[in-house]
Amino acid sequence: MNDDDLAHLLHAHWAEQDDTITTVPFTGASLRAHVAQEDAPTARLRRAATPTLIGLAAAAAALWITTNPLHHTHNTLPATTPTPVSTIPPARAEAFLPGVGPRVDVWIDRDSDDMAVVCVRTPDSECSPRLTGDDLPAVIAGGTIVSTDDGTRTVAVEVSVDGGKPVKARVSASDRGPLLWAVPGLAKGEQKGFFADHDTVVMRYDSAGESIGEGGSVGGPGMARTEPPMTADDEVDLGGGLRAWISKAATVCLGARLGDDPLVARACMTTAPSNGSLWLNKGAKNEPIVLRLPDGATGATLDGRPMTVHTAPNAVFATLAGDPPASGWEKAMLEVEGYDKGVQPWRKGLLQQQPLEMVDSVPDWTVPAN
Amino acid sequence: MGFDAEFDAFVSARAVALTRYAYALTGDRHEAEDLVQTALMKLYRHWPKVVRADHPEAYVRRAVLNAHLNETSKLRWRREKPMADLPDRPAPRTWDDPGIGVPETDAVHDALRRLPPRQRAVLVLRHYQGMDDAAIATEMGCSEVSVRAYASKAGARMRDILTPHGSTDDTAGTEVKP
Repeated sequence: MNDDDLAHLLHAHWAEQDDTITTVPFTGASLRAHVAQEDAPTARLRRAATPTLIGLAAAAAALWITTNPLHHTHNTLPATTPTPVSTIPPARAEAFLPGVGPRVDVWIDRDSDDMAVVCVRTPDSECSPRLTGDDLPAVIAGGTIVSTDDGTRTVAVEVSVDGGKPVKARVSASDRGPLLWAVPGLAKGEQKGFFADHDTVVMRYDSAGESIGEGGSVGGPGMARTEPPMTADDEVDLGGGLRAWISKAATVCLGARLGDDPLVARACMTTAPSNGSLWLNKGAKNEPIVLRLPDGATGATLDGRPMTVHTAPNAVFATLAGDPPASGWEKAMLEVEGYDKGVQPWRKGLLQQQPLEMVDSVPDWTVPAN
Repeated sequence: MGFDAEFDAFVSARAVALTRYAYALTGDRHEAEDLVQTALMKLYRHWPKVVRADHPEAYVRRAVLNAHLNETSKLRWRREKPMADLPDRPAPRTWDDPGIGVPETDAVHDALRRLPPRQRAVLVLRHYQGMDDAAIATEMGCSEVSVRAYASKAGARMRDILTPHGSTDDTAGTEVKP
């Protein structure tokens, strides 16, 4: 590919991209209104008051974390940095699972009542065993990929647990649900978010909007795990008005329900093969997720938590926190409630809007039964 | 026509083009809209001065570029891929996969997003905006030598990403040292 080829590619790409943008979600009038709002004395006061509210919200979040029955703290969940115990032979490190990426987590049913996790990573990376919960004393001594088959999205592993008899197991997307890479660790500045494997959704967050991954354990109070593990038919309340479920593919979806109404909004993320991470929190930490809901959906409570809905000419926006009611929630409310009805809220500062698809009914999101 | 009316007319006429430009820079539609809105708000606050001293569109484009270059490093950890539709199908294969030989625009998009912001900005200014190196240097506040270096590295990186392994083209662009 020479320079001309590259230029041609770029021109073609941008021309195609340009065609996708024919409107913008703002007008001169809405921008002027927002400038006026930002410059208003009350806005300045509101901004000045935010830090105090962040502290209050953080305390509320910490309380919620310890009392919410849906989230149990597990201090032995995966450590920030997996401990390497074996190296995958390079010859067997070529697995690429469609929809998953080159790195997957594989769950091995060792017995009917306990599990072990083998982390399969490629290429030439290390295999990291880890426990799945407080009640699993077993430690995997080592794991070896005995076969891989990218066409069937299957990884077979042979694991020796505690030096005992090797256990062979074979899992695939079709018989155990999607294989979804779980975050191997949390880097500084990335300490918030969710990750999931194929039957568990785990949420990591910091309780005060500060780093918990830096120099310490991430298995502290900022971690919660769905209990019992999520199944294909479940959807899990992640707090803050958000629910998560596993889609057919290696994807975790967020959604919101308005009371008993069907699922009205959803946002799905897939893992980025570049790092295998799955982050459902958008933007900088403490930024909320803004869901776009069908027109007419006004005023709602999700799991006892108020959901603020804002009407706009062509859409209704609701602000939901991407976390339990930590500082992000409070900030979101502060920022959004200042908007006039009829003025389409647009992202500014703390607000993050995700591209969401409006759906009329609950989508077919479950993993097919075996 | 008053300032407000002039501003409204400007936004109405140029917002789409500005957003397209920002989209080319960022590769993210929503981020692009954010940058443009922020730049337009800044423009509104300085409208009389900008209209007297500068071309409003040039002002906004520069503000968008600067904001992008300044803020990208803070947002670099945004690696998730938001999707409007459930990707209930195998993920797109990467260029590292065998059997893929013809680049597509999705791959170009991904490749651009993998470039450092300054390298990407140079490609956008040169190929999207059609600016020469001198103008790019002025826009980015760097030397022309630096512009050529960014362009060279960006081109090499793009070729590396987009060209299937084992079929590199020896006619690739000339390396320029800063």
